[in-house]
Amino acid sequence: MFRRKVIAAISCATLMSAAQAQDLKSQVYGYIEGYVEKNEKTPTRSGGDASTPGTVARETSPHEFDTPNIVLQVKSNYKDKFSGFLNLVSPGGEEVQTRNAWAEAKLKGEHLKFRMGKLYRPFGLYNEILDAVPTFIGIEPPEFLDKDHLFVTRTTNLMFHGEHSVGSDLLRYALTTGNDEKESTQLPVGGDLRYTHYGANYDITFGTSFYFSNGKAKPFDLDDSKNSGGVQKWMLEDKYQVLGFYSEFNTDKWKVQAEYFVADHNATRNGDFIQQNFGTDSALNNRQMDRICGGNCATAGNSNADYKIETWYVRTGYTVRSEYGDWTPYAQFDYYSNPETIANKDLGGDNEAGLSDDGKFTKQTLGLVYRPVPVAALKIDTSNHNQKIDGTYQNYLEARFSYSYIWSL
Amino acid sequence: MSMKKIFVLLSLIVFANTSFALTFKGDVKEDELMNALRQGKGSVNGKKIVIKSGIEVPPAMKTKWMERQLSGSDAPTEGAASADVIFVEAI
Repeated sequence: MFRRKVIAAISCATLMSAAQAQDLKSQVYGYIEGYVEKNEKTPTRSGGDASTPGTVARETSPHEFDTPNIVLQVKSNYKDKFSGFLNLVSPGGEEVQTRNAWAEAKLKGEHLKFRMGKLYRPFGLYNEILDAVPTFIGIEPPEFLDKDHLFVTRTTNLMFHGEHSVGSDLLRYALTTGNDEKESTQLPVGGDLRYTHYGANYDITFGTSFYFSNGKAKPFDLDDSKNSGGVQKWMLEDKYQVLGFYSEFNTDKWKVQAEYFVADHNATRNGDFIQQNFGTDSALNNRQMDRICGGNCATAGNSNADYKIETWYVRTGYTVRSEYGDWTPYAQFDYYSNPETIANKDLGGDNEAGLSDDGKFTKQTLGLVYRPVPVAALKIDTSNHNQKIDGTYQNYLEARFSYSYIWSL
Repeated sequence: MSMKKIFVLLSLIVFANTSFALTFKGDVKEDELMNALRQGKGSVNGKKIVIKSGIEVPPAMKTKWMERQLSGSDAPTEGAASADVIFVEAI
């Protein structure tokens, strides 16, 4: 009798686990992406001290190989109700970082979903898909998603989101919160709303993203190279908001994208930080020396910093299909303006806007994507940076070649 | 060339006909399924969308699916037909 019960229990457990295994579907996939880059002699500001601006010299930039994306991703679904996503990356093959790790539950079908963990916030056209680099035109992200000048943290921790079909069109919405850069008990809030109209042979998207620090935010530590957000390293605290608008138009061959973002900062500079870190080799220009240090970084105290950062870009590409694969020439124009940033990247600055007299730069890019098969992409592009440095407009060129390959088990 | 002719020519280039013929098995309306495929969704009406291995998928659609997959969203996947999926045999 006992033996029969044991056999029945084992059979039952086996059947249940087989049924569960049938309900649980997992996919393992990823991609590798690498590039080689060569810059023309790049203007770089160095030297200076607590009260003397640094000087600009053109430095030779050797060509550089990198493999920033060696990516392993696992997506798991349990029935049509729960899912999870793990996104591991080993930049340059040196160490493994977790870019995303989240679990999601559908609370009301596709209309309302709850996601928690480490997740990319929906923010403009690119923040969520920046890891899908083999699929988009262009090698570099739009400037406002460059790590040196992010408007907000790329990741957050909790999201309510969903989508609603309106005929053949689609409305997507999301609200997010998380640790972000909050100083203490603040509840930062981000959001995104986008509407896509699907025509007979085209689709067009209009959207808006916003973010409120909702009180004091603080910068990540200087030695924290993995995290970056909207607060400059030399701030004691910062209260800021971001608002952006974007649009995308697609046909089978054309892609046109445009985005505009503005961030409004109301911050307090950290006098102690400035005294300790801007005293020698601050590499500031005259305007930054006056603005940030009041003329002398050795005696700088806490001070108010009310400023706006603005950026926009336009990107377009046209795909020519042939028996050898798809060819997509593309062009992009970027504008970025940040009056508060500095050139020294080690102090959280940016060697583009921070180098210029007025905190502004533009970038013009021309490139070509070749896809012999859908899972492989070869890209080549060149960019021209334009800044006003010490009273004169200066340019320098960058050329890049990138390859990427998507794999799956 | 008149402005009208230029406009017509540009429209023909931009809105070149790319209509798709859909062959599938499963309980879903054809236009609903086509919308889901264009939007890159992994399921429609609660049923997973499975694509027959080896069929030709329009490149723009395929890119959209890969983009969604690499960013953690569900997308149509290749596989075999079964009773609980929408099985697409040709696009």
